[in-house]
Amino acid sequence: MGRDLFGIKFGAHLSAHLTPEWRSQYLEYDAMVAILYAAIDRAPHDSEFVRNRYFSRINERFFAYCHKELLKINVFFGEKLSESIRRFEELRRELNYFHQSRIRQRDRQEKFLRIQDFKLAFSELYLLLVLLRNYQTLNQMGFRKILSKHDKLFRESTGIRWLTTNVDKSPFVANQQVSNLIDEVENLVTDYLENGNRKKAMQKLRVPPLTQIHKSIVTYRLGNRFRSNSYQREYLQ
Amino acid sequence: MVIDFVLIPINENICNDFVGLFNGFVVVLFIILFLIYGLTHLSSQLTDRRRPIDWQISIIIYRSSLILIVHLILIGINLIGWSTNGINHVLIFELDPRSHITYEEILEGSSFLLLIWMISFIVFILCEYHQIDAHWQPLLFIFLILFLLINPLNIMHRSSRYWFCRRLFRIFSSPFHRVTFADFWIADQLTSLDLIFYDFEYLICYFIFDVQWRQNPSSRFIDKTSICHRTSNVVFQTIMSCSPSWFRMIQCFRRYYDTRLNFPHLLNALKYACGLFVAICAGLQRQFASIYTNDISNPYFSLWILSQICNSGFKFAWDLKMDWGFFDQNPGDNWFLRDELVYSRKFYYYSIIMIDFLLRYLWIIRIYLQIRIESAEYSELLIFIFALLESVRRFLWNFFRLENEHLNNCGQFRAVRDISIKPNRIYHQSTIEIEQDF
Repeated sequence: MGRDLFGIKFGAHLSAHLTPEWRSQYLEYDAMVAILYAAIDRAPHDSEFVRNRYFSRINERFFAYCHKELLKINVFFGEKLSESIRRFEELRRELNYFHQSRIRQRDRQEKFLRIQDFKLAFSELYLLLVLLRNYQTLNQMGFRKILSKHDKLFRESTGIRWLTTNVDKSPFVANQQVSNLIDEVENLVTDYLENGNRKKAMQKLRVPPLTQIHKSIVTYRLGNRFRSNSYQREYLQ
Repeated sequence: MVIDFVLIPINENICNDFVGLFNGFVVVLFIILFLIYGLTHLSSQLTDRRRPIDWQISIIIYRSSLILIVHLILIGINLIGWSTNGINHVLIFELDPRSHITYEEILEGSSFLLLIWMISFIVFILCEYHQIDAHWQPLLFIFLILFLLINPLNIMHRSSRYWFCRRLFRIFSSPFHRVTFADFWIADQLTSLDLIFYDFEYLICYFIFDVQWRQNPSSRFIDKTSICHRTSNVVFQTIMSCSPSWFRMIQCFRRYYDTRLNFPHLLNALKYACGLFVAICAGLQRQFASIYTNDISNPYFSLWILSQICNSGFKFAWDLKMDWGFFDQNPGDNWFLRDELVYSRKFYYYSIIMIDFLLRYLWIIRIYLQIRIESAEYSELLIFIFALLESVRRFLWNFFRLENEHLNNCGQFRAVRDISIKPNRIYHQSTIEIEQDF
C-alpha cells in the first residue's frame, strides 16, 4: 500500500484524523484497498479474454461496494447536517429574543450569565460544524485516493469516471451549507456576543488542530515518529 | 480543501524531561529511605542506647497523601491509554475541547507532588529519630497540597483545578445537583480512596491531642503517650469511612429522581448501601473489639465478613455487566464480552475480569495477614499496601469504564457536548411582537 500523502499512508492519515465517535461512518478505506490488492494477487495469467472477464467481475463488485459506502456517507452527512441546522436555528432564535429584550433588561448579572451560556453553546455548535466539514473532506479525499488507486492498479480509467459521475455530485461533496453555517456562526458571535470584535470572537471559536481535540496522543505518536525522522511539521486537513 | 501546517508543540519534550527528572529524584530518595531504615535498624541492634525508628505514626500520617498522589499519577496513565485508543475523554467528562489538561501536565504535577511528599516524609522520620520537634512538618505538607489545589493565582492550570473543586463540591452536596458522568466518576474514585477518609480521624486526633505544641522540650519525649493509638473515636471514624459510599448512593437517588428509571439507579444505590453496611460493620467490630478476647469470637467480625462477601460479589458483577458492558446479548466473536471492543487484544479483557475478581476479594488475604501479624507497624503498612492495590484496581477499571461510555457515544454518534439554551419564557413574552421583523 503506497505512501501517497506527504509520506503518510492515507489509511493512517484517515484513522488519525477521523472523529472517533463517527468511526463506523467513514469510508472503509483499508478494506477497499485490501479488496483491490487481493484482486490483483488473484488475477489469472491466462489469455486476455479471461483477464478482462475477471476484472470486469471484480469491478462490478468493487463499485457496488463504493455505492454502499457513498450511500452510507450521504445518509450520515444528511443527518448530521440537519442536526446542526436545527441547533443553529434554535440558537439563533433564542439569541434573537435575547438581543431584542436586552435593552429593557436591568439585571446585569443575569445578562452576563446568559451571554456566557450563548458563547458556550455557539462554540460547541462551531466545533460540530468543523468536525462535519472535516468529515466531508476526509471522505472526499478517501474516494479520490481509492479510485485513483483502482485506476493505477487495474490500468483503467473507470474509477475516475465513477468519481466524477457519482461522488462529485453527491450531497456530501457538493453541499456548501456547512461552510455557510460556519460563516454565519462566526458573524452572529462577532456581532451579538462580542460587540463586533471579530478577533476576540475567533479566539473563542477557533478549534485547535483536530488531532489535539480527539487524541492528544496523535501528536504524541506522530511526534515521536516525526522526531525520529527529523521532521517538525505535520500535515493536517 | 484547507491545508495548513501545524507545528508539533515543542514543550512536550521539556515536559517529559521534567517528569523523568522528578521521578529520578523520587527513586534516589526511596533508596535513601531504605538506607536510613537499614542503618537505624542495625545501629539499634548493635548498641543498646539507640532505638529503631518508630514508623507507625509517620506511616499513618503520610499514607493517605501518598495514595492520593499515586492515584493522580495512575489517572495520568489512564489518560495516555484512553487517548492512544481514540477514547474521547474530553467529551465524556464534558470538558472544554479548546483548553483542557493533558496527560503530560497531570504527570508532571503529580511527579512534583510525589517528590515533595518524599522529602517531607524523610525529613519527618529523621526528625522523629533525632527527637527534634517536627510536627509542623506534615501539617505544612497537607496545607501545601490544599493550597496548591485552591491557589487563586492563574498558574498551575487554575481552570482544571477549579473544575475539580467544583466537582468535589457537587459531590459533597450531592442531592442538590444534577449528576453528570464526571461527578459520579470522581465519586467512584473516592470510594476507592476510602483510606483517606478513614485516616482523617487519626490525623485530626494527632494534631489536636498527640502533638504537644506548647510544652517545654525536656518533658516532651519522656512520657511518649499517644492517645490516638489506644482509643480512637470509632463513631467519627465510621462516619468518615462511610462518606464516599454515602455520596455515591445519594447520587444514585438523585439520578433516579431525574430519570425515574428504577432499574439501574435504585439497584446501584443498593450496591452502595451494601458498601455502607460493610463500613458500619467494620466500625461496630472496632468499637466492641476490646470486649472480646480475639477477633474470631467477636460476632460483629463474622457479620463484617458476611457483608464483605455480599458486597464484593455484587460489585464485581456490577463492574462486569453494567460498568463495562460485558456479557452482552450479542457478543459476536468476543465470548462473554461485547460486540465492539476498543482495545486491540481480547486478552486484556479476559485478564481484567480475572484481576478485578482477585482484587475485589483481596480483603480475605488482608484479614488472614492481619490476624497473623502482631506488630502494629506492619499492620498499618499492610493497610496502606492494600489501599494501594485498590487504587490500582480502580485505575484498571477506569480504562474499561471509559471505553464503555465511549462506545455509548459512538452508538449515538455524539461527538460534541449537547449544550442547549433553555428557552427563556420571560423573553418570549416580552418580545413576541419583535420577533416578526428580525
